[in-house]
Amino acid sequence: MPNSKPALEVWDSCCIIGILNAEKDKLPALLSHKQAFETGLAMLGIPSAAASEIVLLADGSPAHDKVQEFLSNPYVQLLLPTQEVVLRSSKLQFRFDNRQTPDFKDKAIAAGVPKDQAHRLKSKDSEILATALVYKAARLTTYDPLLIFIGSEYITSETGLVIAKPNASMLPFEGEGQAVN
Amino acid sequence: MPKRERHPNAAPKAKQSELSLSLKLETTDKKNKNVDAEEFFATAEKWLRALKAFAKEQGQNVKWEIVDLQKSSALIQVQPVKVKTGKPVSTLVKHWETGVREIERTGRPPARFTADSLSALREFVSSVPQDTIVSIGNGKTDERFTVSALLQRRVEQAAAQVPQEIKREYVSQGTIRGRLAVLDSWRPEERAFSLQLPLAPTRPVKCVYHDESLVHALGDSFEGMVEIEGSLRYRPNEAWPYSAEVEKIRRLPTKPKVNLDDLVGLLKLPDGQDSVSFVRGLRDAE
Repeated sequence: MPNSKPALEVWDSCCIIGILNAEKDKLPALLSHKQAFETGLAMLGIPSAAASEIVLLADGSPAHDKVQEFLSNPYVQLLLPTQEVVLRSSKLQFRFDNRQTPDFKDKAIAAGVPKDQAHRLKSKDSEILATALVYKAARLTTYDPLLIFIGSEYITSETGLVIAKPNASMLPFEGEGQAVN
Repeated sequence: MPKRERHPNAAPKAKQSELSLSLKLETTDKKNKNVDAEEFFATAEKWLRALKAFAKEQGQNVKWEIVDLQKSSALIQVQPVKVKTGKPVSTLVKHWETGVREIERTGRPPARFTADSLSALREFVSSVPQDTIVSIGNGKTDERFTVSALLQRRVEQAAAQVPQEIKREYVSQGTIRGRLAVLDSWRPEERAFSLQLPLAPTRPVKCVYHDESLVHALGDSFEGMVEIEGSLRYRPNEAWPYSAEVEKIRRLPTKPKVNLDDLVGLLKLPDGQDSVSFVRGLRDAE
């Protein structure tokens, strides 16, 4: 019985939806991560909050059967919103809010986050970040500029969690970290 | 001049004693000086958990490396090093040590100790094995001090003064998946198996079940990957449950039915939207 632990990579909804929507600018980098999953080097963590954002397929049929089949994949792990996740999410929303951290918005804008997204971390984004932290993921893959900013400015140095866009040369997980844009 | 062989991260002996923390167990049994291995590891685990809780609260992403291990005196010495650089974090050692001494002296929580680290420290100091002397300190022999009844009492006092967050075990309905590791018992009154989770392989989940029809499913899928559904019992600060009461069990396919490539093009977002703006729109609208 193997005792070695694969690294956990958590994907935000935009990654899965980017594949479903066949977005050419995202497919190569996202699909390049597959090798790490198939070889057992990493597991793909899908937070419940992200899985539930996939609703309808192109032919008008509901998406849930396809989502369930995908989640049954041996390398996919659905990550539940446990009490720890909920409480951590609440703490993160409290912390990453311009009212609590006065220079938060200015720093975020300076890092390239659009002004209308820079004043606070919203609940769904926070739940996804909290999920990655509670389950001790090595990487949170997202295109969200505010999450990437929070990662590079605060989270990576505090916890080791890398928050970044997919990276075609992502392996190994260590030594990553990228600025917004 | 001959080269000295030394680990790149290892500090010189004198310096190392200030960068490391030690735990020592001694038995009071004069007839048998050997320390019980199980007791040593159980105590060391709680000690390490207390150190990790403290490091986490200081925002330090460190791992604890063993820098000394003496079988003869049941002594272990560890050093926190930054995960990314491998460099020792001397401030963490210093703050921990002065903090514990302050607690022993005053019974009040030092500024750097909060609910989690005090709770872990309390768990460690209150679990001294019977007929055993447990000492902690830095790497210097003469600066080690005993986990005494006084220290236990002071840690209790300090912990009681810190407002506790909700830190109780809790039960939540949900699913977990893993490999059936060990079948504990087939006896009707205590049917259970262990489930090895891929992301926490060293901490199997004890899964209890009552429904006899599950026995058949268990037998068929023994050693395979399954997903169980039921009441999952969690300890505070832990991501994975430590036990579960199984209501349903489902075998998982060994090969992917729907791979990542199979998802390409299954969805068409309206008005040529891309996934990022679509998700942002969903979340901002809430």
